[in-house]
Amino acid sequence: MTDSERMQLSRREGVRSRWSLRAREVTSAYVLVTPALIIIALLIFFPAVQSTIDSFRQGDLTNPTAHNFIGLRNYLNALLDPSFLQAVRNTGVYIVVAVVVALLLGLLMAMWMQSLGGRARVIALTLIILPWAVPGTVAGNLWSFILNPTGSGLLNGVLESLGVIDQPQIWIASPLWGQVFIALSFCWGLVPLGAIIFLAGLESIPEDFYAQSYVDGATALQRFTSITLPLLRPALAIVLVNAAVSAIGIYDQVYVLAGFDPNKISLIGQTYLYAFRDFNFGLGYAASILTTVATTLIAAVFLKVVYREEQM
Amino acid sequence: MNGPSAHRRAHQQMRRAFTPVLVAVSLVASLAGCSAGATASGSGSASGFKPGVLTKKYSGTTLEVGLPNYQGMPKSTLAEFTKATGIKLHMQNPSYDVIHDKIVTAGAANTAFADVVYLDPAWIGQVGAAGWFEPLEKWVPSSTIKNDLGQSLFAYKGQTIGLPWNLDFRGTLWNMTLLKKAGINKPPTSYDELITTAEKLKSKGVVKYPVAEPLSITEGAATPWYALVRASGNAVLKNGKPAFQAGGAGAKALDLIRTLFSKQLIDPGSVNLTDQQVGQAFGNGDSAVMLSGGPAGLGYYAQPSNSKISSDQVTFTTLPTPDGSPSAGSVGLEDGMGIPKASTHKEAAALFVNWYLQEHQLNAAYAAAGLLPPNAAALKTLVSQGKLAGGQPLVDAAMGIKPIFEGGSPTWYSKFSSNVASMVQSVAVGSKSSGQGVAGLVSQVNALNAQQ
Repeated sequence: MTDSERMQLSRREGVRSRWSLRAREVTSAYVLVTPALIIIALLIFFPAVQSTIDSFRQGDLTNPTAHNFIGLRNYLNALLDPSFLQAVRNTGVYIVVAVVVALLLGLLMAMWMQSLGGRARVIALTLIILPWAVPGTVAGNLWSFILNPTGSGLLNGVLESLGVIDQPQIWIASPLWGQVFIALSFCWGLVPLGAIIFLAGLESIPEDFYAQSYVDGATALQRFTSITLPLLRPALAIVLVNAAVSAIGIYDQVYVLAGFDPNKISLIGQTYLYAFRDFNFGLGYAASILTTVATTLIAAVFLKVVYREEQM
Repeated sequence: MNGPSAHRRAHQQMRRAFTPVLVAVSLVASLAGCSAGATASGSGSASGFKPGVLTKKYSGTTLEVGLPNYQGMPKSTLAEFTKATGIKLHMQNPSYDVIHDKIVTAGAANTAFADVVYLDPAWIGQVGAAGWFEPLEKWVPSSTIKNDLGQSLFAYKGQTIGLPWNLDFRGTLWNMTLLKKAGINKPPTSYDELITTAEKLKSKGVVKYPVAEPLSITEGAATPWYALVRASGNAVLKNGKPAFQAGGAGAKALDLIRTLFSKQLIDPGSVNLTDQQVGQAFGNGDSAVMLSGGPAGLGYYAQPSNSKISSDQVTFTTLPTPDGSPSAGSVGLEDGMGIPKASTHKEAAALFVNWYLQEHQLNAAYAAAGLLPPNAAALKTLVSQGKLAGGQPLVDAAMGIKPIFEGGSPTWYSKFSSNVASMVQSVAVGSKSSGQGVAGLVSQVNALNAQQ
C-alpha cells in the first residue's frame, strides 16, 4: 500500500468514525429530548389538536347526543355574539393600556435604575420586582382596597383630601374607568419585568456611542432618539410582545375587581362562561382558538414591525 | 459511499432508539383509553342492592363525597356511617363555584369528581339535560324522597336527580338589638318602612350602612332580586318565559335597591362585594339588615366563633313586599346532593345519601352548623324540643317555599343569572333606570329562548 493509498484509507476511516460519532450524538440527543417531547405531546399538542377538532363539532353538553361536525358554525356564532365582541373590545382596551404603560413606565424605571449606584440599584431592583411576583388574584384584591368606593378606599381618600372630588366615586362600576383601573392593576405586575428587560438592554449599549455623541454636541433628546431607542429595539420587541400577549390572557384581576360584568369581561372570561356556565364546549373551544390565533398574529406583527425597522 | 451508509446506520440506530419509546407511548395511550372507559362505564349495576338497608356489603369502599365547605355534618356523626357500613368517607369540601366547575369538567370528560356530589336547584336544568346524574328513585327508598322537603326543585323531566340536605330559603335577617337602638321594635314589612327604618339607623348613628346587600356581578347579587320578586307574588320565569315584569314587581324591587344605594343605606363598596362578604359585615355588626339571608344565619350568627353579634337578638322574617302585604312566597335555595352516573360506587353512594337524610343525622347537622333539616319530622322534633331558633314561624315560612323558576330552571340559567346581576348593579349605581333594566332583561330572555 502506497503512502497515498494509506492516507486515503485513513481519511475514509476518519470520515466513517466522524459519521459514527455524529450518529451517536444525534441518537443520544433524540433519546434525551424524547421524554420532554412525550410530555409536551400529551399535555399540549394532543389537547390543542383535540380542541381544534372539537371546535368544529357541536359541543353543547346539554345535548350530549349531538356531536356532529358543524364546520365553522361555532366560530361564526362566537364572532356574531355581542358578548364575545364586547369581550374583544374590553380586551383591546386592556392591551392598549398594558402596552403603553409597560413601555413608558418600564423604560422610565429602567433609566432611573441605570442612573443608580451599585447597592442602591440592587435595592431598587428588589423592590421593583416584588409586584411581578404577586399573583393576579392578590393584586386584584389589593386594587380592590385602593378603589373601594367607601371612605376607606385609598384613591377616593387621596382625591377627596386633595379636593379633586367632593364625594367618593364608584370607579369600578364606570364602564371606562373600570376598564382603565383593571388594566392598571394588571400593569402593576407587568411593568417590573419590562423595566428589568429594558435595564438589560440599556446596559448592553456601549458607552463609546454616548461619549462620541457628547463630542459631536448631541442633545439629550438626540442621544435618546438616535442611540438609546434604536439600540433598545430587541428589548422593546420583547416588552411589547410580552405586554400584549399577557394582556390578552388577563382574567384574575378582571374577575376579582368586576366579576363577570359584561362591560369588563375579558376574552378568557368569556371563553370560561361559554364552556363552564353555558355548557357549550364547542363555542368555548372556538373562542379559545380565536384568542390563540389573535395572540399569535399580534405577536408576529409586533415582532415583524420592530425587527424590520432594525434591519432598515 | 461511506457517507450514505453511515447515515443509514444512524437512521437505523435512531429507529431502534425510538421503537421502545413509540411502544411505550402507544401503551400509555391505550391504557389511558382503557382507564377512561372503565371510569365512564362505572359499576352501573344495582343487582342485589336494597335501597335504604344499611349493610356491610360494601365495606372497604372509599366513598368520595363532594359537598361545599359549609356543609356542617360533624365528623363524629360521619364516623357512625363508617362504623355501620365499613364504608370510608373521603370528604372534599371546595367552595360552591369550584364544585360547579368540577361537575362540568368531570361531566364533559364522562367521569365523576366524587361519588356523592353537591347540587344546586339552579343547575338542575343544565345537568339534567346533560344526563350526568342518576335518577334517585332507583337508589333511595321512596319514603326518603317523599319526606325530603323541596325535592321537587331537583326534579328533571319527572325524575329526582338530587335531594336536599339543607332547607335553605330566602328571608330577611334583622339585628333587632341594633334596630331597637334606633327605636324600632318591629321589623318593617313594606319597602317604604324598610327605607325609613334604614334611614333612622343611619341618622341615629347606629350603623353607617344599615342594609347588607351584595352588588358585585355574581350570583349573590341576583338572588335578593329573585327573592323580592318572589315575595311580591311573581315567579321570575314561568316555563322559561319572563314573569318578573308582571305588575311591576321586578321594577319595584329594582327601585328599592336603587333607593337604598343612592341614599347610602347600602355600602357603596358593595359593588365589589359578594354575598359571603356582606354576610360577614352583618356578622360584624356593620349592618343591621340582611335583605336576603337564609334561616341558617340564625344559628350561625349566634355562635361567637362565627360573629361579633352572637349576643344580639337576630330575627328572621319573610322579605318585605312593596305594600306591606304578607309575602307571597320564599325563594327556595335548598342545597342538594346527587349521584353521578359515572360514579363507580353508586350503591355505597346511595347508602350514604339515604343515611344522611334521616332525622338523626339532619338534626346533628342543625346542631353543629344551623343547617335547617329538609324533613318535616325533624323540624317538628326540633320545635317541640325548643331547639329550633326561629321556632314555628320559621317552619311556617319554610312551608311557603316556591321555586324561582316555575316549570324548572332553564338550560341557559347561568347566562340569565349573570344578566340579572349586571342589571341589578347598573340600576343600583344609576347607569340604568329600573324600567330600562327590566325591559333589557325581557329582551335578553327572549333572545336566549330564540337561540334554543
